This record gives sequence, structure tokens and C-alpha cells, in this order.
Amino acid sequence: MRRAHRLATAAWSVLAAGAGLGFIARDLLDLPAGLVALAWTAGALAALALALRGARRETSG
Amino acid sequence: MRCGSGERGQATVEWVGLLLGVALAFGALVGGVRGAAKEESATGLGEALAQRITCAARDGCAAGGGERAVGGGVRGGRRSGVRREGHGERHAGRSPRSSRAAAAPTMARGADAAQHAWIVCFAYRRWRYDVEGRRTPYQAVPVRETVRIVNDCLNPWSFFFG
Repeated sequence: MRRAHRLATAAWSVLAAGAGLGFIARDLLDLPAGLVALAWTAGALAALALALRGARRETSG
Repeated sequence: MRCGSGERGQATVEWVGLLLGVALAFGALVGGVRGAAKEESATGLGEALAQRITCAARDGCAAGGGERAVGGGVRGGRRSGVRREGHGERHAGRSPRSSRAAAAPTMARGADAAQHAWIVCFAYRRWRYDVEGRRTPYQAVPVRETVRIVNDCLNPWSFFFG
């Protein structure tokens, strides 16, 4: 159950961070489609990295 | 029932009030359990939330709750500076590794802000819909349009190919 919670939180974080940066790039900055996709990917990867680091810290400590 | 001129715009005022109330409640929730969300597991968030609610009901958080709230509370060590002092000691002798560790909270804060930007997307799209004037003030937003807004704001496909 705990692992499912963590997984769901990580999945949502990735989606939300990607959507957040994507929104900023697409709607606020009005960037072209390629850069919007790049911004979404960057946001998702950043959230994924943070989630992985948190999980690693939790297992080690 | 006849709608007098004094009642004009009443629904809008009520909706704005409701929206403000929900935003306030959500803000309090986020502020109250933010530390728990960052530093503890998902179950820790639930515990911190339950603790905040019971403390508020008993009005007894100020003395006893502070200790527990170091990881997850508003009134705990985070605000009183206990945590910050410890942090300062840890980074007193700066090494490349410690500077990287110091940059980590900034990155986490940025990611945190990005994670919450999707909510602004809803508000922005809704505002754009109103500005475009596709409905009269008394008309509700069609379900189809609402679904489209949600899809535009959350579906990764719309960011890549939309």
C-alpha cells in the first residue's frame, strides 16, 4: 500500500510538473510546438528526478 | 419570481465568494502540511493532516504540537528557526558537495512551483473562454468545453501534438 502511494504520488508529480511547464511555455510564453514539448519533458524529468531521489533517501535512511 | 435590478449579478458574486472560500481552504491545507509532503512519505502527509485537524479542534497545537511539527507543521521548528539553525551548521564548512546540497532546495522549490502551475492553467483557460465572449453571463460553461479545458491543461498529448 505504501509503495502504491509512493508510485501514485510520483506519477502525479511527473504529470503535474510537465503540465505546469508546458502551460507556461505554450500559453504564457507562446512558444512554438517543439519548445512546448521540450518544456513538458523537462518538467516531467525534473519531477521524476526529485521523486527518485526522495525514494532513494527513504530506502537508505 | 421576478428578478429585480438589485439581484443582477448575484450569481457571479456568489460564485466568486465560493471560489475564494475554496481557495482559502486549499491554501491553508497546503500551508499546513507542506513540510510533511516534502519530507515524509504519503502516509506521513495523512498523519500530519489528521494532526492539524485534531489540533485545531482541541486548540492545543502551540505547546505540544511544535515538537512533532518539525517535519510537517506550520508552527513547528520550520517557522521558529530550529530547522534553519541546524541547516546552517551543516553547511558551515562549504564543500562542492554541500553547495550542491544547498542548491537542491531551490530546485525542489522550482519543481514545486511547476507542479502547481497546472491549476493556473484551468483559471487561465476559463478566463480566455469568458473573454472570447462565447456565452452570456447567466449561461453555464458547457460540459464539453470544460472537458476540453481539462484535456488541454493536463493531457500530455495536447502539449506534444495539440
